[in-house]
Amino acid sequence: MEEQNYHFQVNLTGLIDLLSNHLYSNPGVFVRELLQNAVDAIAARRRLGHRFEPRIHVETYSNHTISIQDNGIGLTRDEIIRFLASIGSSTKKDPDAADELIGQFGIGLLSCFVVSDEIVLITRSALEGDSLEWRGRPDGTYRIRRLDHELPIGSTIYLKAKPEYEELFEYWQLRALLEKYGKYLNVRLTLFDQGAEETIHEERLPWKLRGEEAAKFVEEATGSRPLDIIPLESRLGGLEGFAAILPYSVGVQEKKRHQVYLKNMLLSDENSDLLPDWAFFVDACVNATNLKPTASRESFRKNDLFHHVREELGENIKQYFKRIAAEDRGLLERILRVHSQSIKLVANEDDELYQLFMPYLRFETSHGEMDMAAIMSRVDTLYVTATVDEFRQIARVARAQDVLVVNGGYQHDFGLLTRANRVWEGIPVEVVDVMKFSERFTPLADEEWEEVRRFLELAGAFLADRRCEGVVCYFEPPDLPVLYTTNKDLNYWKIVNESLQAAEGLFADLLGSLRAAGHAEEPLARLCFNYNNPIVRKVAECRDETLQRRAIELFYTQSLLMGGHVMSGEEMRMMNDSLFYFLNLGLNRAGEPRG
Amino acid sequence: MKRRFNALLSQAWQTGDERQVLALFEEAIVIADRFLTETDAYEARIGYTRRAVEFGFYERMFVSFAWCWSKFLRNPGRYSGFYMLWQFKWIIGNLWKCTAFPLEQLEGLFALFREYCAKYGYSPRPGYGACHSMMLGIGRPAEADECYRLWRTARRDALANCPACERHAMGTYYIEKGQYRRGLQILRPILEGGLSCSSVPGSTYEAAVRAYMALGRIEDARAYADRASRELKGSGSLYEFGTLIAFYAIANRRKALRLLRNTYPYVRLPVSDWEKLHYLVGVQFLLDQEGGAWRRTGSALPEPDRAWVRAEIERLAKAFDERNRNRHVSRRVEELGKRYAAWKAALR
Repeated sequence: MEEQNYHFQVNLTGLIDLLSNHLYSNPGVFVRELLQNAVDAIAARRRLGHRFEPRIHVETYSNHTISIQDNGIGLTRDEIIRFLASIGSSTKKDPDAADELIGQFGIGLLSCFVVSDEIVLITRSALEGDSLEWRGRPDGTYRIRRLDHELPIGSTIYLKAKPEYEELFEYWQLRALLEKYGKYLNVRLTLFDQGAEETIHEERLPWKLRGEEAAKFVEEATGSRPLDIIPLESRLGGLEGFAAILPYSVGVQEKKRHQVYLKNMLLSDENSDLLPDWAFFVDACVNATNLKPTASRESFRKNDLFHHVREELGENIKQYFKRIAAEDRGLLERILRVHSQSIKLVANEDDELYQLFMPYLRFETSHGEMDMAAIMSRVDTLYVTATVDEFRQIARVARAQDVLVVNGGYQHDFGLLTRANRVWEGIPVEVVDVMKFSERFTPLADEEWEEVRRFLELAGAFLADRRCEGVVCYFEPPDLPVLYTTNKDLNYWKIVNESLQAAEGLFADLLGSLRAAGHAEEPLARLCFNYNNPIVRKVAECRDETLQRRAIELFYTQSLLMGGHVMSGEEMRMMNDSLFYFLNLGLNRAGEPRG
Repeated sequence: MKRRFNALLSQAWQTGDERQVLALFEEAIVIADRFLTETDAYEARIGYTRRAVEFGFYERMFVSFAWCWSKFLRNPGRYSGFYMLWQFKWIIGNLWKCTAFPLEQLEGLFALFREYCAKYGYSPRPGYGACHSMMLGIGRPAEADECYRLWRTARRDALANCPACERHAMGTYYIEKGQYRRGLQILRPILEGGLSCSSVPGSTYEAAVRAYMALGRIEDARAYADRASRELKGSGSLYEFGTLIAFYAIANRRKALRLLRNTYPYVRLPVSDWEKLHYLVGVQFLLDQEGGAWRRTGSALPEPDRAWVRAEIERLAKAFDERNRNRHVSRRVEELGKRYAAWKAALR
């Protein structure tokens, strides 16, 4: 059989629609793309050694038409066919020139089709003489013709707005877009509108600002003055700028608003990934020359250089904090007050910052909120709970025993606290097993055991079904009759039970296997009766078993309630029944009502 | 109660610490079971199952899923069959990593999964994919090859794993079989950044380290080890951390110790036996390099209990061997020791 080669057929209209309407996040980027092409063309002409005054002129006309004119290198007929009319080809792929140019994908011009149904280019190349006109349409058709008159070297693009984008071509909107993307370009950018001429150029490059100047710049732009300015620099990335410490606290999920420029052209004012994730308490303003943009040019390519630069910028921020810790303690404390959660996250990520910040960070303890330096000055061992729930269970008793326990249950705190011995080397850290916390209570004397033996047997029988054990001991404060503490696996055990009850067949067998595989039936909770408490003593010494049973039920359910534990319907009923039992008993003893 | 339930779930999704996430979800589930609707209890468990998979807590994942599955069977119209099968994939993909479950029951799960795929009109493809991983893991290579063949030929549909995960599984299959070049060739689109998802490429970088070390391409291995250590986070990557710790034990001792310090607490969490075993083998290799005395590095890392590490490796390997009724895992541990020793020779 005869073989034949075929070419893929490309639906050009669909492809242009895809690239022009779905690659970019907003229609205004056509201004950036055109400015970028103009800047690159000027850079290319400079490389030829031409002496000229580089400029970009933007002009508005009636009927929502604009032109963007540059005196860059221009295009030859051959280049027009190769680059302008071939998607994915670019004049800027010359590796020797790549460092000076911004674009390189050959798709930038397509962004114009988002806002216009036709692109008209007139151009004369610095390399050959013909003046040419090229008209391209989004259906993939184009026309080239030689112009009779000679144009100056350079290119002019004409665009007429689609009806739905006419407002982008009006003076105020166009001016705003030019200012947004091009005001820092090192080429003179001029807007001509109805005979008036306006240069859009800002001499003061924000990424070069430092200290007070940068703070003022941020305040003018955002309305709020930053707490301080951190200088940023990466030699490999050719990057300079600053990070402004926000004067209000922000969440890690909050949208980042880093202003990122590439070779003086705004890449994005909502960049979110140039700084490490932990640096969410700053907004950066930077300009880079060596990083490479993505095809949409709204962010940088995530190559090794990008990761390196990111780390370097993170290092800049760390160095700043080290410096202010040594030089300006007041400022450090102000920053910590506003950004304590962020700083906790930062400290969790980095050992050096951990050592730096940890003494100043504040935590909830059984003795109130304290900073870490104060906590560590009071303890021989640092006791930390893993959850808020565990802290809640023992905080009051711990305080009464004069044991300082720190709540590690809040976000970031546990990781920070359990590494405390990296700073305070002689002080061990112990994660509190709240079940075992009662082991530090004073046990009964031998002769007292006999007094409580029957009571404990009754309590044991009642509690066994609840994977709970009962103990009697002395602890503070005496007005607390019982302390109910749970192992962290108690809830899991309840969930396993629910699954066992619900599952059938193979799933029940698998759950059975799981249970049999060594998850022993050890108690998961402990009810500690306080022998310092007179009511507990009376109940333990009481010889009426019905009364004792009811009292145990009441102690148990009350301890659940006091500890903020989730009570089942049965436990609620039990609490009511036992409460009413004693109420009734008391009323009966009070005698018949008068009457 | 509903407010507390919602607050617990919201906090559980925002928190990163595995232990806290578990506690928050478990409390929410207990509240839902006692006071709220079955749908609330179901939704909380769905979230718990998802986080448990992420953390490598496969027993917990199963306990939670078993309840959801039973409710789904009783009331198939109320819950999404697709989503149930999607989570069922996680079960068959990971449960073999826990020694508690006998082989017969695991095989029964695969059959059940295929049955329900057929019932709901889905391809059994993910079942074969999971099966080939399990067969490799339990030391039945012939059956692994057969499952691999079935996996590759079965129809792809909405229930299939994402292209990145499938490619990762294909590449690591060949790396496990010692066909390193072929494995790396398959993994190239991931390694070059063309394919990614939530678990890929972090775990792929680790596989690349093993492959490049086997091929003697030290600098490539080092580059991917650096990328892996940058990408991987949390107890769900314990297996990969084992490899990295062993690699850095020779290549960069400070980094190995830092990695150990950051990851060692995970072994006290309910991570799966498989992940824990592989991790501990890496830790033991590092400890062996440290010699008799634990040298401090300013990291304030207390020395891991060497006897416990050794005993735990032996215990886990024995439990796997008993469950698998062969000596595959014990041999695998020995081979890992030899592999790391060979790395030592190459890296020095």
